Amino acid sequence: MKSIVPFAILFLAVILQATLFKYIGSAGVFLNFVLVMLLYSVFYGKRFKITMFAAFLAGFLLDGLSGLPFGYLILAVTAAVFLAQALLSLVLGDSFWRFVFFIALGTALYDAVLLITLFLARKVTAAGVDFSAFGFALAIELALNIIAAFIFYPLRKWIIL
Amino acid sequence: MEIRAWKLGIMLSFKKKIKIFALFAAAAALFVFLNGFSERSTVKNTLLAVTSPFSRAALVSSDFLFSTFKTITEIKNLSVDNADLKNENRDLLAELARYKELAKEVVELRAQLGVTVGGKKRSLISAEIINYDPVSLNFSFIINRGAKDGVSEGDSVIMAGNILLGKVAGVYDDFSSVSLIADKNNKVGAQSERAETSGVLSGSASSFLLMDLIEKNADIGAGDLILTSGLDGIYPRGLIVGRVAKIAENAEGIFKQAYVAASYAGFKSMRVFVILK
Repeated sequence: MKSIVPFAILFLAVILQATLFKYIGSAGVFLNFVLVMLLYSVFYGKRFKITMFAAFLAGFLLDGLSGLPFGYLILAVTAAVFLAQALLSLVLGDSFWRFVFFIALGTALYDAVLLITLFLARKVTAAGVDFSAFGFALAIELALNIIAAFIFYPLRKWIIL
Repeated sequence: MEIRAWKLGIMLSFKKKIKIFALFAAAAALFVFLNGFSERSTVKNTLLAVTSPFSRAALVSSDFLFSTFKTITEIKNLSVDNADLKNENRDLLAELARYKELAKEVVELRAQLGVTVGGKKRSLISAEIINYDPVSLNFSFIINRGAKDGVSEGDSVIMAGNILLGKVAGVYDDFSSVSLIADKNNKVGAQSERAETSGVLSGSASSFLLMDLIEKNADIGAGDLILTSGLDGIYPRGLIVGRVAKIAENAEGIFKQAYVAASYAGFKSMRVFVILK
């Protein structure tokens, strides 16, 4: 029963990202609550396999609710979480500012991976990418995710995954 | 100093981690690959069927929460808004009376000339928004109508008042995904109501829609109402898109652009309508 709770929370987080958090944002960019939650688990959690499984599940659910063809978000979320795990050794210590830096790093990684995935899938063309708009969107997303990091930091004693 | 890699309690080697990741990535790639074999994703339809009761409840709650918040914050502007609306209402009533007269005249003239109204008869079905796209800059949402209800790709989606929202981009058995006109890949043939100045409308990096390919000397200005022209072959003619916010003149080019504030902006209603082909 206890092992179901983290996944129920993850399910709820995905639902909230597709509903409630759509109201909190600007110019079509909003808080990536699920990603922050996964990065939080990578930073404070200890279990690689379960975090990767959570990333896969989150991608699976996000894919279900998204207008994108199935599979792209699973790929993007798992790849971003894996890369964040791999780069974790660069972020020494677990102070608040290191956590904030890690969230920012993870957000940038996720956006880069998603853009590359969509580019490879020909859902986005090189000519169609407006890099100034992409940079602006990334800045808004970073700001919102960092605000979320402030909320998550006090919860570090309760590792979700 | 505490090293995070150590703190993670990594017992697995990096090689093994790559293997685990490769396994998940292969599963994701399989889903991507399977997309090519089925026109309507059954997995997606099943997932939406499972999540829709939860997302609907969350959407209703969010809507209520934000409507209440908005009402509280806007309460001080209510008297000014009320006066403006009264003035607008008076003008609209006068206009309505004029249109009624004109409509009567048209019916009489048609009867005299024996002309019938041509064009394709379109049917409309109502749908509810289940959830918005969870990915930033992906301007789409999911509705609870799908192939079983007769919805097909490319159908126009509007909200009350003939306001254009977008088109159906993906169809599953019981659900469909709708791509908003704010999406950069969504091109809409548009024209101004006043001078019938035409152009092509799409999403832009700003919060406005961008109406491009407007002839340099064309008559268009801030405040003009923009409607669909029907020239794109996707959206029916006469749907309301928005109002021109500003004009962007380019000294060198042969066209000018207009930034259009979408009429649906800020819409919170969950009820939409699909115009079936």
